[in-house]
Amino acid sequence: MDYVRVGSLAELGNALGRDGATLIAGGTDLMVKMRAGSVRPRLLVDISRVDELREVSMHPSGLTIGSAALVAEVLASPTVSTNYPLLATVLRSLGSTQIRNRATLGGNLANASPAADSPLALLAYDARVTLAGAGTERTLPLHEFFLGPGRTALRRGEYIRSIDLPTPRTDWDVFFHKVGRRRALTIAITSVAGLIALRGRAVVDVRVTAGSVAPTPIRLRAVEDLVRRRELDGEQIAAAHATALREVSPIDDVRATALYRRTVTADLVARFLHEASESTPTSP
Amino acid sequence: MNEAPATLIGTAIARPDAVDKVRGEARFVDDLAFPGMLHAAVVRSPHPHARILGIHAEAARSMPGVVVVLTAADVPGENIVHVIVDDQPALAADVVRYIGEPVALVAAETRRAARAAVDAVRVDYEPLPFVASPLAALEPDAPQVAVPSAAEGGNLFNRMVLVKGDVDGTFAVADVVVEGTYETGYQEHAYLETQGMIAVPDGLGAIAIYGSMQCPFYVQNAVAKVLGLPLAKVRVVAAATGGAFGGKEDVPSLLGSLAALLSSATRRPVKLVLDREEDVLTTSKRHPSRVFYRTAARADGTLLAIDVDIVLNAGAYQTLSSAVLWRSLVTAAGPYRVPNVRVVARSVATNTVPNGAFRGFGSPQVIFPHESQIDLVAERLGIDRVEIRRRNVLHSGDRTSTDHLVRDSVGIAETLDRAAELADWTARLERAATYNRASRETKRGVGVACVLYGVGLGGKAPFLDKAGATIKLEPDGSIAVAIGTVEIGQGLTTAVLQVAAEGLGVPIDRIHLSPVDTSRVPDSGPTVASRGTMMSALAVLDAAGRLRERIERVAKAHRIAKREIAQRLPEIARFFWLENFDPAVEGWASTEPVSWDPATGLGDVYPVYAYATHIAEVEVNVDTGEAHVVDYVAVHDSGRILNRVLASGQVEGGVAQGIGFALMETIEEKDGRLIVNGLTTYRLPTIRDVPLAAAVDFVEALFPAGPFGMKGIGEVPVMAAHAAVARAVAHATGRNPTRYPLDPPRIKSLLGEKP
Repeated sequence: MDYVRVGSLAELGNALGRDGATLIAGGTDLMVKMRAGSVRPRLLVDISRVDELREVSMHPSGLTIGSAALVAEVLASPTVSTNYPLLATVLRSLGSTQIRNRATLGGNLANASPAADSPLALLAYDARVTLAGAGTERTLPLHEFFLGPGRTALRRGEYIRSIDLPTPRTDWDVFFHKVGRRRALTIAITSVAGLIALRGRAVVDVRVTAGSVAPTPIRLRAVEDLVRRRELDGEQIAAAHATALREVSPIDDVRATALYRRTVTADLVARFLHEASESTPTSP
Repeated sequence: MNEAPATLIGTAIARPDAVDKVRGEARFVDDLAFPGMLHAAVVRSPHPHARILGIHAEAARSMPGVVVVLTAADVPGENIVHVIVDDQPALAADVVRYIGEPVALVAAETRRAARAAVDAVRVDYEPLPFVASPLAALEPDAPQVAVPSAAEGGNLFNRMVLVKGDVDGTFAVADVVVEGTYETGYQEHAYLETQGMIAVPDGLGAIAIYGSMQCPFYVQNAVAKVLGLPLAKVRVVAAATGGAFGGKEDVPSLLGSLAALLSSATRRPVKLVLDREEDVLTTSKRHPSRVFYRTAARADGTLLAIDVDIVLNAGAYQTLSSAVLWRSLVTAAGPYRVPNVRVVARSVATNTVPNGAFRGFGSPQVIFPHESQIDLVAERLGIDRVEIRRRNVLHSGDRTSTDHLVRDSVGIAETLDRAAELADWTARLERAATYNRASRETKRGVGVACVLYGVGLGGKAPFLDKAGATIKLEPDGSIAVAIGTVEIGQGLTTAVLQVAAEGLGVPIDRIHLSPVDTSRVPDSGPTVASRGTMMSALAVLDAAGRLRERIERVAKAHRIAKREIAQRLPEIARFFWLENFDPAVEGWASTEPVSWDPATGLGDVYPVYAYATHIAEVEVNVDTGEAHVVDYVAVHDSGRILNRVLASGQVEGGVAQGIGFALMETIEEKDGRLIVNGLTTYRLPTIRDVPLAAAVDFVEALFPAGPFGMKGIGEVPVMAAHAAVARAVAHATGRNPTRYPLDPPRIKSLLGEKP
């Protein structure tokens, strides 16, 4: 196996043209797979020192995060905690301090685990990913990037250039609950994130995302469509619960049954909406 | 012995091994290297049960760097790993009985070359029918797993009984009868340092073994047997050992034997170190269990009778299962007076990895039931859970379930009172009730658990309950001490040095304790059963007493006053040297005789018991089933505490391990295969899962035969912790959990059941 550490996007483009090239940044997923023998790269291209891939910057149209930005760097950015609090909340539950100090946001997306943490916030904020390759660049919504467990829209020779989040509403309330066997350093058995903007009890806008309940992290669009521009009352929340039960397609695995995942996801969606309805004044 | 509070005893001396460990300078087995050392790797069975038709090693032997490939045919002595019953081969000869069983060995110049050669060894197998569940293995038509000479019949390794009083008659007339069937799964030791051994030719036809271990004398016996060497030609040295928890009781005998076979064949040093995945998949775990438990009580909460049926999954070979099962049997009643007792305990062979020792040693499997059952009785009768325990715990003058009349050092009632006081029990229950009325999403629950632990090996292996020590006064007045039980992280080094300093009347910094070397001390038994510190401290005190007499005699001859001895020891030591006095002494300790009648299960089964009461408070999320321990109180009676900080550390670690066992740790088994990938998928608690503000306290019911009144503590914390947590979950959910781990899916499903 060969190893090359590239220092610029130009060098990266060249290296990716070579046969059997695999990108490595933090290596927190890849090294585990290599050690287990399930991935055997011929060439490791290390992008951890490419400055252009490590920016975290706010601009008039939103936030751009380079794919090799460390999770810890994203968390340390004041603009993230101020403008994208759900992203900060979700990233704080990713792995451990040690893993957050090595892992990158791009790596978390490229690994394409149905249980990944960061996509829950990124999908909720309508993130887009920019994919670059040999002289090409294209941008697509994050939900089109995930194709299935471990499968993405990345083509041979392409890499994730950046993750872009549009300027968010300023009145989002956030919700996040990740269920694991322990309280840190855990893979989600199931997880739900949400953003909601209310006027009185009326839902102005809402985003609901869930992990470990489908082949990819997903937006629960049927739930969103059901409650958007409606009054949040007990009946509406019950309907959202029923919709969530239908909208997810989890599997049985060693961590939990599909039934558990389905039930708890729906319960967490109901809890999200219930908490939102309780946090607003009841009188108009 | 010496009951007067002494200056060093109880003092929180900093551990002298801390600096080496913190600086990364302690030499664990994988840090050691010897000139010409080879590296070993093990060819293991991929089948739970199969006949070996042939082993083809030619290709592996010709690979670069490979020095030797060995099979069962190459074993010079007996192809047996001696533990208790001689049924386990070092290398499988005809049949493999579990996935991961060693079939062949490779030694090569590098670890990488050895592992590559393992993949090149081709073994032809004829798969045989297998059985992984103990209940299925007991069926008449089950595949035969157990080596017939090791079993009482079929796959029944051992059946033990404990019978006292009139059980059936009492159940017929009791005011209350409650029953349940309780199940626990695997628990992995997850010691920080994986298993490892180095075998080194030691000259004059001898062999030395350096390794990570609890029981150097077990390894000495096993290696001698497999190589056909006299014991005197086998020297075992304990390297710095990074945690053990029972996992390094019997397994090092197997791994030491494998390294020794390769070293003997190549006449070179050979290192065998397991990586985490291999360690988790192929070494012993806590026995999975199924326990049926029926309890009879009077209307006032007095326990009258228990009827218990215990089944442990032993795995493919006996290893320590008979001893583990015995502790399940004699611990089944807990720390309570129960006049009528019937316990039937069985260990069963299955085509899975042999299970062995794990902190608690067969007792957690019966503690979960006995603490659940007493709560069920309390609930039926409307009696407070602390109060019902108060009415039933043992006091001096009572008889245990094995009819052992206990007189000395019975502190369970004091631990219960102190724990209830520290937890503010009644007010805490009220606070939880108030919280639960206001909160829909989360519920609080409080649990209490009381345990008893027989210290030492007791009636099952009284011949092992001994220990030796040697103390040598060096000519400069420093003191060299050697003992036969091992520092495995528990703090034995510090505690034994404190005892030596106290016994000799010499400053602790003049005393050095060397690593255990079997050539320096007689067989001192294993470092298990919470006995390591107590037994070695007794042997050291014995030696110290005699050396002190000699020192006083020499001092007197030179007109040095007694009170000046400590200060003028270098001078006195010089007189020893000049005048040719013997400066070395040996010490010896053995426990009081114990008795046990296998026909009834009755007897004075242990020299003494340690006790504890733990109280846990948990918060359960009713939407998700997550449980989290929010507060904790642990009170122990281990007699005199030699070092309070180290003893508290033992308690805190045991609480973390108990939380793991109750709430998250497990390994699923499918077709004889453990579904686990090292510590990636085996979930241990992290610092965020343990209560940082746990209150730990000790009541010290002195044990007259112990060093300064001390008895053991090592295993007791984990034994109480899982049950306190499980009973707190029971309180929070209003349900009686009967299966570990209480992970979110299981609690969610529990909440769906009728209360």
